[in-house]
Amino acid sequence: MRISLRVKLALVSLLLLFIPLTGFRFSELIKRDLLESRKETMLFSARAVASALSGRTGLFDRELFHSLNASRDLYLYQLSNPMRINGKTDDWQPQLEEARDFGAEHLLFSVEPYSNESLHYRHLTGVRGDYLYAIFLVTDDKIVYRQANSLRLDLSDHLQIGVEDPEGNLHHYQLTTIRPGWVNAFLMPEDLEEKIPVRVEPKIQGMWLESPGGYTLELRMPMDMVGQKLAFAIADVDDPVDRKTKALIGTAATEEREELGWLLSPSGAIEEILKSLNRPQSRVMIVDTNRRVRASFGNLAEEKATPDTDTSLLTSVSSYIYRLLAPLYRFFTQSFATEFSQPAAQPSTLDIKGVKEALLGASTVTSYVIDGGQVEIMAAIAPLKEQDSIIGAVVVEQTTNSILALQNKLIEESLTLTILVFSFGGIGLIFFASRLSARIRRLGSQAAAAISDSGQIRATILPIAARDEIGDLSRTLTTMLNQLKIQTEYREKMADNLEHEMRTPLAGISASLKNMAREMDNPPEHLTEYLNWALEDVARLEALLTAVRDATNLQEALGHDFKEDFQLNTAIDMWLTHSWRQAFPETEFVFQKPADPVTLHGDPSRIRQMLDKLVENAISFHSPGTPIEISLLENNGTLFSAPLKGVLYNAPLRGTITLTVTNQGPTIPEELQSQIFNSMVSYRQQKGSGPHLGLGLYIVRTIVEHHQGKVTVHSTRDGKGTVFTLTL
Amino acid sequence: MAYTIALVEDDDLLRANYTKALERDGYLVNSYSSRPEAQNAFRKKLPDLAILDVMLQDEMEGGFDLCLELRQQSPTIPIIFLTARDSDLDRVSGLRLGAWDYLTKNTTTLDFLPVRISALFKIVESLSKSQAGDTDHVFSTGQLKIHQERKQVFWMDKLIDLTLTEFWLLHALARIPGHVKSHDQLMEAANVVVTNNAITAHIRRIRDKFRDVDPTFDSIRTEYGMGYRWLAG
Repeated sequence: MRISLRVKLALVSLLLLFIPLTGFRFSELIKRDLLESRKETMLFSARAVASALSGRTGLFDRELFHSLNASRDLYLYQLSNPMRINGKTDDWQPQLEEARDFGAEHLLFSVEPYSNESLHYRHLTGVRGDYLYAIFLVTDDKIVYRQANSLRLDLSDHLQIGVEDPEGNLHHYQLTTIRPGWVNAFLMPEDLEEKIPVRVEPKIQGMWLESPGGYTLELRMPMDMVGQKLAFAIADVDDPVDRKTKALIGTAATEEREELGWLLSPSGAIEEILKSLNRPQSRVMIVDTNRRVRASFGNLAEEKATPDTDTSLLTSVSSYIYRLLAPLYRFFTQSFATEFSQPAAQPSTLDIKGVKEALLGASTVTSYVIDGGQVEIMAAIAPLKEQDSIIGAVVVEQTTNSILALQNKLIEESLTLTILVFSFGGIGLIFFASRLSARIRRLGSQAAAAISDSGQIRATILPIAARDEIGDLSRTLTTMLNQLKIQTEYREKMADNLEHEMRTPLAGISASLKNMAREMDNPPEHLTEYLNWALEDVARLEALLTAVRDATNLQEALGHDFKEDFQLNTAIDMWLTHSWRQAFPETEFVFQKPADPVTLHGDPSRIRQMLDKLVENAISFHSPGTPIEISLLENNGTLFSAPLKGVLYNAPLRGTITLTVTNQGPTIPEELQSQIFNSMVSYRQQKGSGPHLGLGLYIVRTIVEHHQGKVTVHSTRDGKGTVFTLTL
Repeated sequence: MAYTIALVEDDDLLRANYTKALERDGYLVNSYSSRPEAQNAFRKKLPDLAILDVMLQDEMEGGFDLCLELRQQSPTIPIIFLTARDSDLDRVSGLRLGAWDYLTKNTTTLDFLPVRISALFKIVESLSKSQAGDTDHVFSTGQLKIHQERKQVFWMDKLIDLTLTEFWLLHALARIPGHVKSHDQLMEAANVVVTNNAITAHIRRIRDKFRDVDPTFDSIRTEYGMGYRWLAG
């Protein structure tokens, strides 16, 4: 299959499609580097925050970072909705998600082996305004209410509260109810053995409502009653007769001050400090040893970029291109959400990888996704130390959005560039290829046209000035052709020059011989004989020179020819009778001629000269005893005379004359058949009597071509003879 | 009185050969090998006839220059070009410059050169005689008139400027109109030994010269394989 240069180069231009691959790879590298440096920066800032905080003496004491116990400590959530004590949970959303489960591991007391169905609950402590709110979603298989006439509060399902007031005094409260509805807590005596409450505490109010599988207890108390420690415990009474507490599950034991859990809340003081260390587009969180977020500052969202107001042509063009290519970009880039929900600062458990390690003293960088994978957040986590003990961790978070944006931009630009380069490069390459192949084709056709079928140099190639390989090639070809032409011309000229240079000495020799002959009085006969021989040889030489001259001057001489209409058949008849049969009496000539006269427009003497050469040629090659056949026919579409042995006429043009001269004898090799009409080319196996310079057939061709004819040579079909076919 | 012939020929051997041959025929021969040499001699004394080679040493057309100068010195002096150059162009150039004949150097030159020289001297003599009032032998057939002594040919009373060779060929053809003259006969008449093609070329030039005067000229007929014939009237 032939694939043109143009197609090949177009295929090669497909390689340009590899440009985006490098772009992608590059953007990948950049992203990695950026992430790496981002990690380092973040880790550095995490450590910086950690050391800045550790420098504040007593800060962590005040903010309760020491001797925490995850199971006992209560975290105070900032409630986002206005609270109504109604036993319903909807106003607790969304912080209710953070509610902790209390079950077997918080069992303070149990009579029988504890069963989860009997009692467990979910609990959340929150703050809004001046009040502390607590909710208990209790699962209890048997709810036992307080008997209306009973003074004791512990003979039914009840809540025990142990709280340290801001002055550090421990107070006990119990809360139960005789029916679902509004409840108040009762202050219990300091002596824990006393089971009769001191008084109703109206500041601690609640709502007790039954729920499927248990009850919901929602209560509130003023913040000024609450110091640093707090514990809740829910007691389960299942037997309405003996009313013994069967199980007690609490956030911590409520009896002793030491056993209460810390009430921990986001630290305003630390957040103030974090504010001073503000990092844009990032969030800094302080996590305590319970992996609870205790302070948080900063925003992950990017600042809204001010819209570009530049409306120059370039930007409008590029934005047009961007819009055009957007679908393509989306296919290759990684999309991300710029707007996402951020968890508010809550003392919720920060459940990301690395926090645990940080609390063991290792700094890590981790990343996680939120919003269904739309946003990736990187977090650098460094341990927070005070006096060699780890009291928490610093988490610095930042989205990878800016890096992704950069990467996407890179990819987009490399795509745009590729498309531009591909279009322009492709067009350029195709144009270049077309030009290249056109130039090569032109050179090729010039080269093909330069040499004719018969081996003549018809024209030279115009050298291309271009200083490239094709230019070189054309110049080389031009040089080659010129040299060939010079050689051919030289070969043709050489005969002329030779003839000219030899003529004078030849004339000299003959003049000397003749002078000699005339000045000898009564020369001996043998001397006269020698002289005559010498003169004969001189004459022969001259005849040869004349033949050369005739051939070489033929082209020029033909221009002076006088053409006329004459009857070729009559002329050949006459020439046969008067010339050829007389010249070669031992050879038989057969002339096949048409019945009608054949008229040719041409110079009769030239036609004669040409036929002389053909006949001479046929004579010198024919096997003795075989006839020379001459056949003439005028083509009127059908073969006129009986076809010669083995001659094929391939549909000669109407109105042309075909003349053949056939002889039996050695044939001409096929590869020489087109060469043989050139000057000084001869193919003779046996040495003839007369001189031969290979000019005869050259003369034939020149004369035939001068008459707008064509001469070809073939072997006869039986391979025993040679046919010269002239078409005039 | 012996005629003086100037022979300008740069080939020493050929010059010597021709000089000897011409001297043997009774002419006084002054031979020169170069144009300046010949020119100096001609300025001192003009020869009766000049035989010039065209190419003289390194001067490609030294003979033509000499011819031009000679012709300026004397409009009547017979000049023969004898050269190896045989192209029609050279022949025409030489005859245009006023040469009376144009011969090529070949093996037969010596057979015909003396005949031609004597013929030219005869023309010179007859010209001077006719100026003195003598009548010329005039042969005429149809539109053709041939002044035999002056070797002049007229067609429709216009002079046809033929060379000596051409004159003899035409004379041989036209003397008996209607008769075919073979190549051999023509060669004999023109005192030349040349090939058939050379005769053909001469005939063609004669035709051309007549056609220059009369484009409808068609009196010389080619008889293929046999020769030529002059058609009467």
